Amino acid sequence: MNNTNQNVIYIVLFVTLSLFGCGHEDQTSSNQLTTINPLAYTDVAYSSSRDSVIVSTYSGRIAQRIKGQKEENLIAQLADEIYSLDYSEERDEIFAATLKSGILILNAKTGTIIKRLEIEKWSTSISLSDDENYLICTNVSGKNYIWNINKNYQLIELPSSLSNYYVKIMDNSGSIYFSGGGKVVSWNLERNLIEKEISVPGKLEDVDSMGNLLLISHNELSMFNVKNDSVDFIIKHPNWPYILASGDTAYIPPQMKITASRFTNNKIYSAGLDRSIRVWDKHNGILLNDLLGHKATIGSIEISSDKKQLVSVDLKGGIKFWNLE
Amino acid sequence: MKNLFFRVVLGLNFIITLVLCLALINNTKQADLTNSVLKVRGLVVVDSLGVERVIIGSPLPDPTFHGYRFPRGGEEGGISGILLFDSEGQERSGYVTDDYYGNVFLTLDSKTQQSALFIANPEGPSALQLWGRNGNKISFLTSDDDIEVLTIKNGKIVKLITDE
Repeated sequence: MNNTNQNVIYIVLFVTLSLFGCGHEDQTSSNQLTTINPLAYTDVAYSSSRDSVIVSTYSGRIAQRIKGQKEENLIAQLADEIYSLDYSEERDEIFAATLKSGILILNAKTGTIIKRLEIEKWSTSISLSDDENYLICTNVSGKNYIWNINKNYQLIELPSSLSNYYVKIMDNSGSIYFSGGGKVVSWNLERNLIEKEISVPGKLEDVDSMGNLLLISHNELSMFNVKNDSVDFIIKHPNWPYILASGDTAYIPPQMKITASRFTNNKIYSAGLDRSIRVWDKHNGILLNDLLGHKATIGSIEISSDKKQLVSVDLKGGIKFWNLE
Repeated sequence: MKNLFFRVVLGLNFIITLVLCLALINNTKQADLTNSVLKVRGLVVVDSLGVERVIIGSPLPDPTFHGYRFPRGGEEGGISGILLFDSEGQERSGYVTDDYYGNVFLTLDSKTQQSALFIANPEGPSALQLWGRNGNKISFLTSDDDIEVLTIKNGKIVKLITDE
């Protein structure tokens, strides 16, 4: 047996063994039925003062999107569905509400999971207080959670009188706003005191620096003036600006559901199923402008901290940055 | 003797390699399933962007609605059949049987609510119900003993003349 023959045998054996691994391409998928739309963005949060945001998807993706850049920068791929997220600039951390893993806290640079907060069932919303000291959410059964981040995520005990309301927003003054059953309740955490209880026409969406409330009821958007203790105006998207194949826009009658809205200093922005964002005068409810271009339902909008930019995401993975006047 | 042994091993390896090569070439041909019966728990049709548009399954998963999942109907709410989804991945229709009570039903949904339901009870009664917003509803119900037509406009029952 010379070296040449040995080499031939080794080569033949290698080829044979290699071939054993080929030719078994599986035509089936072991994935479970999920009904997930992998394109859809479920939430968006600014990760800098402007032009850079973090987005989440049903399919467990957390990614950075930068204005002018077509591709996502993937931060983390979770084996879970993500319904909502927020970002802490001070900590450089992402807070994500998931279907099976509770609330996850991730390092925004590495995507590593730092901590997991357990909740019953799951939550479809998660948000930080303006001062980034508290984390708030409500689970799908209506149970509220408020964590004190500075005390190692100590859970805050809430008065039983708030159990029928859903925690929504915490402002700079330490007031936490709850919504539900046609009411908005403001509770001061430090003083453990209910400050306001107001009957309103809809679910709370935003609170401005004056304490005025923005409320959504299906296709109606209401501005509640706290000083006057009354609704200043109720507005609807006037039509559906449907973009035809030719590129022209046809304005057709349905006044569709509003999915998100936000205050700025002098304006109100609302987005909806009609794929549009409408700009309204905050003082009288007059429609000022239409922001068009999304090709699917706009699921979430956010305003930058300097109020000079708005970002919107839709259910087909579309994202748009709008510079505000 | 030793040389002969290696020659035999080499020969066998050539034969195995040849068989595997032929099997590999044969396997690249598309499987012809026209005379086969597929037995699966689920089948998903996706569009060109990967969005699930049709699902046939048993059981079917809980739906998602504007960004979050919600239970289809409690612990005993499992259903099997066909679901249709729009291009945004939102469930818009189902033609299913439920695993617990045994109803068979067809639903047509808008993006915000169930708009139409056509349902047959396992014991015989059946119904067709149509909903609009603001408390508008029309129901047609039949059973072995009676029929009923119910019309509700803006939350108020509109009386119809019956049995005439």
